[in-house]
Amino acid sequence: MPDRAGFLLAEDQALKAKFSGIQLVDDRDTTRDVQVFFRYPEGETEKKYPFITLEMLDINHARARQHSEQNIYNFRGTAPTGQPDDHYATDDAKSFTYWPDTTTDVSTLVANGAASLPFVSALEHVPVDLLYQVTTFTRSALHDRALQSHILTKVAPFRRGYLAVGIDDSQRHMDLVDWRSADMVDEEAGFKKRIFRKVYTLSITAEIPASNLAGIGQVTAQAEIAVKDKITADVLS
Amino acid sequence: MAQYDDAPSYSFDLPVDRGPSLLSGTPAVLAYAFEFVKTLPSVFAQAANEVLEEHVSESRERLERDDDYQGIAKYYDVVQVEDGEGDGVELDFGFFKVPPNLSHKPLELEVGDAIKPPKAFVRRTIFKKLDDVVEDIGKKVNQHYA
Repeated sequence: MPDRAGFLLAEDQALKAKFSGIQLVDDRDTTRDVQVFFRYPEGETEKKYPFITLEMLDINHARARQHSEQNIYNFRGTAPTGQPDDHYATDDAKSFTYWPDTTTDVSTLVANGAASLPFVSALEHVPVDLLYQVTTFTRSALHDRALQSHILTKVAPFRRGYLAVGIDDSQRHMDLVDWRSADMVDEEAGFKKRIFRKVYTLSITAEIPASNLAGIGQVTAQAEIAVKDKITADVLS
Repeated sequence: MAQYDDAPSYSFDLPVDRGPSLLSGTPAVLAYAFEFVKTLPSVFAQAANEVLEEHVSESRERLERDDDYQGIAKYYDVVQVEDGEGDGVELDFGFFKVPPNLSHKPLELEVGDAIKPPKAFVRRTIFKKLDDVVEDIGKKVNQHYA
């Protein structure tokens, strides 16, 4: 499946991929697949235990990671005539290469009305934390424990959790902030069967662009000066 | 500064247990600092209580307006739990002392079920409000000292 672009779409896809492909082993089946759904599956969907559901709970502005407002820059590749390349390095603190949830190479994006200009600029992206709930549903205590073991050691370990988002090739922090048991009885089975349920809460870092991408031109004596106008060019459309 | 022309600027032959004084050479301001530090726990506790009380009452009002949470709104609280070693403060946000006929509701609403998605009030409150609560406690402590 191609990488999905867009805020939340890219993270959702990455999270689903992260929890997909888990197989459990028991005395009947050595490769029991664990399906993954967004939200609890509809009535029409045949439920095969065990399965996992993903739900987004909240989006919070990560104020602790927010810097004072400043511009970030990227250089498209070729220095303007007469200018040495090293004036246009993109490895300082204010340079950026990716556009969140969109691309790994911001210089390939068409800037705001200035596709051919050597520099592009934007306001620094706004950091946010996404709060997700991941729930596992199993019919047996063995599956429940096996899934718990797998998730806590391989998928979302404490302190070392991460989420790889394909479209912008970023590695996000994915912190397991809480997990708890929430066993229930199965309504569809007339409240006669138990469902073992574990609820994991994950916090995932993300960024939202704060402004449009804008092109910046070189100032010369005769040429038109294409310095962006912060009021008109930076406003997100 | 020396008290007399030929006297040293401080004295080291006075017993230490006489306490700070200008003559003993121990800066008197230390005594005030120690007194100040002694008041910190009680001032902090008072400030924390005031801020948490405000938070709980605002949260309950908000919950009262939510159809799902209405019945259990008054049980929302923040309580202090012992951290086991006795020298730390750990706060627990949630619904406490819920009567048995409603005891299933907090978990049901928090993590959802087959029909309803999780409303996660407690977790969302912790993630959204905890920083504000901590900041407000700091401000309140400053106000008390001011």
